[in-house]
Amino acid sequence: MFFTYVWRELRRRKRQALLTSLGLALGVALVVIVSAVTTGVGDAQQDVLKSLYGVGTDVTVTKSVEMQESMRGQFRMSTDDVEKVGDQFVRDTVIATPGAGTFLEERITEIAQMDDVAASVGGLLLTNARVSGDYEWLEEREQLEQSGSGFGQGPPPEGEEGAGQGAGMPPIEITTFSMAGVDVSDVELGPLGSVELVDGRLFEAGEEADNVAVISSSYAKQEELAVGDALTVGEKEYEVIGTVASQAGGEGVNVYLPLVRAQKLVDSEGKVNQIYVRADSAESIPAVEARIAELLPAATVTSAEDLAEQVSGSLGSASSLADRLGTWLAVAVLAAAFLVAGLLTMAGVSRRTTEFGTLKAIGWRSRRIVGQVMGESLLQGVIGAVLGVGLGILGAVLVAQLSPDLQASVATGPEIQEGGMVGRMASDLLDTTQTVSIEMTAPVGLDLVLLAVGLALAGAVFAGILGGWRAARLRPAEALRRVE
Amino acid sequence: MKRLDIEIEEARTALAQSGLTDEWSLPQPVHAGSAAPRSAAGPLYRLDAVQKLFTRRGARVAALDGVDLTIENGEFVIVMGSTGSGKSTLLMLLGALDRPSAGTLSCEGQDLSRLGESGLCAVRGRLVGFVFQSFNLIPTLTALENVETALVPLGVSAGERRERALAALADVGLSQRAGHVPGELSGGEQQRVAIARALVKDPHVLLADEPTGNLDEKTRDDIVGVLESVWRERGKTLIVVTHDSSVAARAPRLIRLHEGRVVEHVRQNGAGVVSRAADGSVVATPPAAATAVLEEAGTPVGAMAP
Ligand SMILES: Nc1ncnc2c1ncn2[C@@H]1O[C@H](COP(=O)(O)OP(=O)(O)OP(=O)(O)O)[C@@H](O)[C@H]1O
Ligand SMILES: [Mg+2]
Repeated sequence: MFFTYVWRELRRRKRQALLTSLGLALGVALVVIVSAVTTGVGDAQQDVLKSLYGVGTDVTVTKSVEMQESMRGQFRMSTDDVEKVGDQFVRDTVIATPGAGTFLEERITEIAQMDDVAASVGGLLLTNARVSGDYEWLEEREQLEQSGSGFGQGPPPEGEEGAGQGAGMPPIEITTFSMAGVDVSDVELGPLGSVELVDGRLFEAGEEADNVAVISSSYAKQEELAVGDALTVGEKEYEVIGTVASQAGGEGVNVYLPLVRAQKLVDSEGKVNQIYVRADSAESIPAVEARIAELLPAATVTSAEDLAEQVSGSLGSASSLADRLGTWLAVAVLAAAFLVAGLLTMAGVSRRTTEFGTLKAIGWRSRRIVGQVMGESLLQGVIGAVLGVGLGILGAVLVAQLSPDLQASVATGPEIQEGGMVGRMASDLLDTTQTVSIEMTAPVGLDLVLLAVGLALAGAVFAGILGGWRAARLRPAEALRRVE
Repeated sequence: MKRLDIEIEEARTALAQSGLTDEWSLPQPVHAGSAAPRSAAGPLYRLDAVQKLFTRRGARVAALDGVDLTIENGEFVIVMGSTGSGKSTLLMLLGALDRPSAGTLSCEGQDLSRLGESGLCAVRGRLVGFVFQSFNLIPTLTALENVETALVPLGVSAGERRERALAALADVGLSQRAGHVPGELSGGEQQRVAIARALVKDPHVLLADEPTGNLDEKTRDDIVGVLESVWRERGKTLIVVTHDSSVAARAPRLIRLHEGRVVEHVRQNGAGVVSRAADGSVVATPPAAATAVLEEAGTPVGAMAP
């Protein structure tokens, strides 16, 4: 009788029942989509962090320092130390990433011996700057310099900036590629931890001082290099032993060299500018961070969580869009659906005063009538849940399919305050902002489905309570009211 | 009520001589099936100074204003009165749909004015069968299911429920329409289903509020026939509110309400009518039939002697 009655009643007022179910379905579907997208964006952020910082790296230690005065010297050029290619001059300079302070290798060992630390390795980030420009201009500069005015201080030939400042734009071009010296004994930790091998192999223990290099596949393509070819860096040849791709398609380091070789390139034996740390467990990361900060007060200690907040680009926008607008929209639609369900149920009960009055007059207890109303409401909720989960999964799939890849950028280099040409060159060199492109996903898990079903049923219960409350208050004498 | 208007003066004289002034003693109807009275100890209903007040737009309205009444098991009572006189309100109280505002109302010895909602609900479910003017069937349920709803509160198993509902439908001659929803039934058929619903739980009393009010003349006679047979053949107490004097003429007892008070009590049979007004005056039509009417109504002849 209960089910027959419930089912017949819903069939009688198909339209209201469908409206109620669809309202709940829509609200629930939005919750599913928004949650799925939020999860997807969160996953994407994790991917970004992984690709930028390596799977096995929990904490990265860097140190930012003032731009050293000596750096200026790095950009001094004369016709003596450049290569002449046609009417252009070209000069390659390998420098330790400027603005990044160095640590002595002993620090790595000290950190490795800390409690909760599983492993610690050092890395040296280098930049190869290729300066090219008009050879004649360089000769003129040189003559001017010899006659007293220094490089970069004379009036610029084209005078783009204020002449008085002496910081104009010389007709030179700087292209850079980044390199990393890695600890070949533990490639899982550090820059190579986040890459995927495309061809060849990674470094092996025993290759500490060998002239071998691993390069990114995009750099290999650009320079038309393959495994087995020779790569020239700082006038030395390296054998390319492998090509790698960043896991999320990120464009980070172009060339990986054994740490010792990298240190030699910039005369920094025994020094690193990155320390990668693996903690015993995720829970101990904060403690590890704190200990390192104590040991190295001047250092910047960064964990993956800290970086999540710095992610910018469309990924960042997607994340805040899904978070704010999406959540707000889902909550609003869900609330509206609850309200509509409640009002329709109440109106339905009001229209049935005679019906319920009659049932009370023939001995039905209020409880049973409330149960009937609740049953009707719950059935609508179940239909709404099924429709909503279906709609939500469909929506999530569509969003994932149709949305463009997400771009994420994380700036990891020090900020450049210095102006003028040197500042501009430095910030070009130091532009360690890494951008990765990630496919959007919107996974719908079992927990999300359960949440959706729960919400639809909660809406139904809410409506049922409203309707039931009204039904319970009906007097049986209503049955005697004449329906004219 | 044309009959009552005939020869009033004559009747008044005759009854004044008979000395019939007290509340009439309560009749035991003689019916063919002759079911024994259910409760030997006392009447089915006893109303004592029953009042029912409603508040309408701030003002208090006394729908019933001091009703004293006794109804025995197995009686067939008609309730008449102009619109707004309190007929439905009286039936509502008899049917345990509500409690009186003042006075006492007992049903089979239970004081309904003191019962809680749950107790009233039990009385409604077991003792009382209700028939409404607008039939009040559940529009989504079939005739059979509608009849079954009356057994739901009694906790009857589904199988037995179906069996008893089918039997009740057969009793009102509607077996072939069991699977139809109310919308597919005529007014008369719907009211038969409603009567089956009222009777399926075998109640002690059948209350009907203008059961023929929405029906045409022919159907009206059908329905009255069905109700009357319930009283005559199954010995149920039958209380019917009606505006229709042709319906009223078929009951041995009639109560007339006016502004919430009983203003006239009538006993009648084929031979004549004896009416007693609120002021105690009695009219018999024709006067010679008075004794026979009261005798059939069970009033001891001795009580009428001077
Ligand atoms: N729920 C209520 N609230 C307020 N007043 C009511 C209510 N029910 C009945 N009344 C009033 O009580 C009086 C008696 O009503 P009742 O329905 O008993 O009359 P009735 O004799 O059945 O009339 P009718 O022949 O029109 O059915 C009327 O004045 C009516 O307006
Ligand atoms: Mg009425």
